[in-house]
Amino acid sequence: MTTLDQIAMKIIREQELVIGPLAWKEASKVEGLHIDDQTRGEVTLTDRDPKEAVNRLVGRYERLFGRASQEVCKDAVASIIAELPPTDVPSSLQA
Amino acid sequence: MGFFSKAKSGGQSNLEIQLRAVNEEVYKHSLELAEKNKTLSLLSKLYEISILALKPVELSTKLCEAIQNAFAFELVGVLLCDEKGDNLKPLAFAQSEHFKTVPTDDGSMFNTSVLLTCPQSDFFKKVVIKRKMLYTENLADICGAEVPEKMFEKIHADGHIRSTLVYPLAVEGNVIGVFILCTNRAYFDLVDYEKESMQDFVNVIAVALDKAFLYEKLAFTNSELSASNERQSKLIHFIGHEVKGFLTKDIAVFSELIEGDYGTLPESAQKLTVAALEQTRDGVRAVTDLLEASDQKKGTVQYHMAPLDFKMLVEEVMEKLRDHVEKKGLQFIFACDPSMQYMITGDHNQLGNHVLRNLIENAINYTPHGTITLSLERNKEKDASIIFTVADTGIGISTDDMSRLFTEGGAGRDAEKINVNSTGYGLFIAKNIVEAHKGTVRAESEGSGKGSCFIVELPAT
Repeated sequence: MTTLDQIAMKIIREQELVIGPLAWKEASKVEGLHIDDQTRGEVTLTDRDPKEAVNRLVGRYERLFGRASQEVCKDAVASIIAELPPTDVPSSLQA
Repeated sequence: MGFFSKAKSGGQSNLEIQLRAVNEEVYKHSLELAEKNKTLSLLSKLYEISILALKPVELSTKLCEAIQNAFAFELVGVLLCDEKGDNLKPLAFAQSEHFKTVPTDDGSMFNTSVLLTCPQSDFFKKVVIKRKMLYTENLADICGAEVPEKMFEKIHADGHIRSTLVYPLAVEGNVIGVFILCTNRAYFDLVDYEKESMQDFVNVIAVALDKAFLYEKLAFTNSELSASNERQSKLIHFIGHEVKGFLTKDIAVFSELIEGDYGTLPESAQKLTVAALEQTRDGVRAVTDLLEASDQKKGTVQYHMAPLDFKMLVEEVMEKLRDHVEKKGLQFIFACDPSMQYMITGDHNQLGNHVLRNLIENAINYTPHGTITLSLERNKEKDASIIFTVADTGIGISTDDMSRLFTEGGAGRDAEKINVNSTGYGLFIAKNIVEAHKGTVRAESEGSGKGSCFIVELPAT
């Protein structure tokens, strides 16, 4: 799993704690994101630009549930983002 | 309630806007619940660890690992105040997989050895004295002169440590140590959930640690006590056997003198020698009681169980004590139905010498005048038991003394005045023997001066 795959997985799992299985259902509709195994929480970003796939995932939740859900996405991956160079961080997750 | 809203081409209707607002509101409430759930979930995990009977180091390690795992901190650890409270000693740490692989300058793996060398830092002492959380973004504040600056740069860069938080571990107002966590984010970048819930987790760690140390002390004290009891028991046995040996030799000498083996003693000397013989025999019985009680306590008494006619045993003991009874001018009565059988399975010596003899001798000793009545009957309701009773018209038993009666050294106050040589172990021994025979023994009395009654019930065969 790449770092961005892990970021996507963490975001979906964190959203799952708030909205339940709906988190996976919405994630499955994101272009460039493939759910390999929901029970094991494995996802793969298939987009040429995986950062954009992450942005679409965050955007989807934000459109449905507002700004609070975007903050949840950021908080979920704060420790991973802290170790990435700024250019590798998807725009939707930047401070 | 629906969570979905679809955007219509060209904009959203009022209904859709309202639905979205409702969704957002519901989401916020769900988020609050989810965060509380997370806190409760981790608290539950920490609680499960804390109730295990673990030693302090093991307990702290598991708690640190749980918190490190939950928050993905780089390093989490516990340092403990020493007994004087002047110094801190590292107790346990948990590290992220990444942090474990950060090498030091000399090629070895950086690990908590750095923190192991700097527990005396002023930073930690401030936390202990001020009893509040402090944080720093510079490890040098903590490790200071112990670690070269290049190492800090490496730790910050490769170990990704951005800030270090140190919490006091306090129980009932006393600080027992500190909890340290190193994270790859600045303190103010930590999410609210992390900042707000950390104090709850630190409190659980403090209480769990305090309890673990208490357990450890108790276990040590128990072990010391057992060893001390064992030594005491051995000493009692050694002294007891030695003393019994000497007294037994004295009995032999006094007996020979009384029998005239060395010529006829003058009358005055004869009386003194008889009294001395009796007192020496009392001494032997007292030592025997102490040794027996010690064996009872340790559970090392060997019982030789065999079919036993209890009526015959009572009659045997009565005969041995008849002189004693007659010398005191007491009436000695034995009532039992001769047509009934009184067979039991029991140890002849233990029941005869330590139960029957003890109960009957007590009745004799504590009855200045009147009657001692022994009775033996079969329990009509419980066909399997025999009931043996020793009733006297003696000094009786007060309510206070009743509660101490069958305990170690539990001689009654009135009894002690009459029989100053009483060891207080006789009834304790008798009770243990009766219970070893699956029986019961109890005492009844209407109070001081009103006589007493001891009832033994044993299963019949």
